[in-house]
Amino acid sequence: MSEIVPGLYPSSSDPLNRAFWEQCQDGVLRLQRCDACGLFRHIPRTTCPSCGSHAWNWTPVCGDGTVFSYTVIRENYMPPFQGLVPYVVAVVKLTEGAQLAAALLDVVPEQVTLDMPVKVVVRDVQGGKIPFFIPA
Amino acid sequence: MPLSLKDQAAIVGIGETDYMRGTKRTAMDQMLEAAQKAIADAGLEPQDIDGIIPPPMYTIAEEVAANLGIDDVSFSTTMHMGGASPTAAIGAAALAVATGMARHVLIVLGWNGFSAIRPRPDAAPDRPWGIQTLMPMVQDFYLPYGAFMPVQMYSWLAMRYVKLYGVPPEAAGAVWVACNKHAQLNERALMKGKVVDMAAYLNARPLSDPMRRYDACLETDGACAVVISSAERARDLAKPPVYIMGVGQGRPNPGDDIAARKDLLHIGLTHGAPRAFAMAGIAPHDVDFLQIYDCFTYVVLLQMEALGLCARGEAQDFVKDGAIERTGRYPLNTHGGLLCEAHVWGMGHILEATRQLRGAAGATQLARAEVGLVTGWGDMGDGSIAILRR
Ligand SMILES: [Zn+2]
Repeated sequence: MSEIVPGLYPSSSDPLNRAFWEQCQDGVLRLQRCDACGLFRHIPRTTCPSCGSHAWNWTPVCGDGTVFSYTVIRENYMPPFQGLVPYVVAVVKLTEGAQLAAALLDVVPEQVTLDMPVKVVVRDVQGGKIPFFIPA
Repeated sequence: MPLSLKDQAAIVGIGETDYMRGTKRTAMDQMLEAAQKAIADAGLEPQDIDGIIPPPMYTIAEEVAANLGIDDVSFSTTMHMGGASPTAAIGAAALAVATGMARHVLIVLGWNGFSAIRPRPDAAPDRPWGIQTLMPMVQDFYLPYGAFMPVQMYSWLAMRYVKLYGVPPEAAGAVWVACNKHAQLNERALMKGKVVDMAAYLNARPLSDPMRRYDACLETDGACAVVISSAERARDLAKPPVYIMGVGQGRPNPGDDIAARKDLLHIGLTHGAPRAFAMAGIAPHDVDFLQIYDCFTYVVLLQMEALGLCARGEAQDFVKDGAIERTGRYPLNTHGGLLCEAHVWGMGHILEATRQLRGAAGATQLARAEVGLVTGWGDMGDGSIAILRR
């Protein structure tokens, strides 16, 4: 039995979104990287917003980043989150430049700050594995 | 020289249902009541309406027309901007009547935001809402971490704002207090008789830092409608016209994902407000009152800055010392807003601005109400604005 963390594997009906989560299942965080200009992007997009290219690949990121913003969720009536409050959900800015929402683990909510260094960990949740971040 | 919409159209009729927390009426039933009242308020018959702007996701112009007995609809569109939709619809309606595509445009919106959105055992059956384009995104990328309610997503904006500029909770509290005080004068307001002062605001239970209970608005059942006509036709109708001086809309980048934004404080209104003021030919400081979309208090602070009423980070000073209360220079949400009157997607803001500019606001009437503004905020920060005058 793994540690209970604030996460849920999504059952997406969008093929591109579903692929993002499926490729995390080996424990590596990959984002779309434009074949033409090298831009990392997230959430998944069909074309590159910088150069318009349709060509891209899921590409591993180093997993280091900083907290761009966050909130401490103190009320949530939806399982499995109901029993896990308070928990922190951050917007993380990765070294590669892309930004994504993810919960922070192993933090005291009151000690989270903007620009705090964090690194990715992929953990088991109900339905599969999803990325989280912990203090670096 | 491009054509200008300035003063080419006017709000000529308004209508609303009672606002409730718990109803057996369908949203459609309430919308039709509001629509009939707005048409009558303008001194028009339903058959005079030839443009319809229904709300997103719930009904269509054809159904509204069939119920109201309108046999010729020459113009229809729907704004898909969440709570920014009604104020954006003012611009679309103004375009239609100014160019002659329609004579009289009905904007109508209603919902059972209390009775039908969360499962309630005693709720009357109503049809499900259609797919909103943002929902799959929220379900696929925010919901996996338990962040899917607006209060949670918008707290990313609010937290960065608070930390970057040292915004104290009392700044958001000032927005709440102004709306709560103003609601005490409004018979329609759900918070009339429920005074919640700054101390109570600060002591309320936290929802999602930095948001507390009273940073969030009221889930409401109810409907409102507005009729818009060309300025020329408006002068022959029953009520004093409220002229549309300027309109604008805008979206953050990207508009469908908060987390990817390089500047979280760059909102839709940041783009939309300068366009509206340029059309109106006035400056932000020329308005007599502010009806600012207040789904959450912090969102009001961000919009004050986007409007150009103060510089970025300075809304905390702008709202001080009662400046946004009805005795101050910039009365905010004189009806109580979404926070303390009712949440009908900001339609209440449009109705209150109209009443103020007609001089018919009753107990909430301001001594000076020549020019005012209404904003809308929706989805992940889309923005709309209408600048109105008597
Ligand atoms: Zn590219």
